[in-house]
Amino acid sequence: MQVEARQKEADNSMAIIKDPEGNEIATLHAMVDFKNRRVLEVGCGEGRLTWRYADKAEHVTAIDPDGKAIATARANMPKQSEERVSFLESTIEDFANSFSDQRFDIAIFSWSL
Amino acid sequence: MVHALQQTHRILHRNGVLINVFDLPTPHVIEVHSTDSVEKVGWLLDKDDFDSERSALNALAQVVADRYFILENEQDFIFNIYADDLNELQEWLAIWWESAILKDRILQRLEVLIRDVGQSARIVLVLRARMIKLRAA
Repeated sequence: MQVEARQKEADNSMAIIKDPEGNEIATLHAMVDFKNRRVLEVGCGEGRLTWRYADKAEHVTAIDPDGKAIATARANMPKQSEERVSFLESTIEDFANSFSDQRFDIAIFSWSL
Repeated sequence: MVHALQQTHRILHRNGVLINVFDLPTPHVIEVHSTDSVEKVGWLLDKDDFDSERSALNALAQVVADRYFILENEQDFIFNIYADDLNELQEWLAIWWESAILKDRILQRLEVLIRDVGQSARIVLVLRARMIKLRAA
């Protein structure tokens, strides 16, 4: 399974698999329409959830204070997502202060509040 | 947590949406799955009695009460985490969930079940999760 393989990589090669049933992403898509939306994901980690909706959004800014996780997310970035997705090492507080002129349509706290 | 939500409100468009995904402050079921059976083994507890999860819920209630956001929708769902063996689960918990408690009784039961079931055994941590949709006011 491609999704499982990607999630294994995302957990530092441990064979931990999260939500292969897709309950989380199904619930997310039932709640929001990503089409033409600018999204901020807070606590993206290594991009496990990001990859599951990014292709639907106009642009995704995904932040996490864990630099190692961000480096992994960038390394796993599919070529077709490079213009659509930006990963940044930051807390939400620092991000909001540094990019106070930016506005988003959707903010997702991904198991990070 | 309240401050983080207030800061997020500041960089959302008016009527923008905030989604919060989190596990509920309740013990989570541990199961062993094989090709033809599901065995409930017990519960994963939390040293801090799920205090951070409870704080997150309180923070969300606070920003709604303070009229930063309007509660628009919430849905519960099951989020399963699969491990091939006990070491793998324990390593993952040590990194990502330091306050998790797996009691000796549960560990012993898991060891026995995995040995009995054989190669098809997978340990499943069944998280009860919630997704909340807030609309920026």
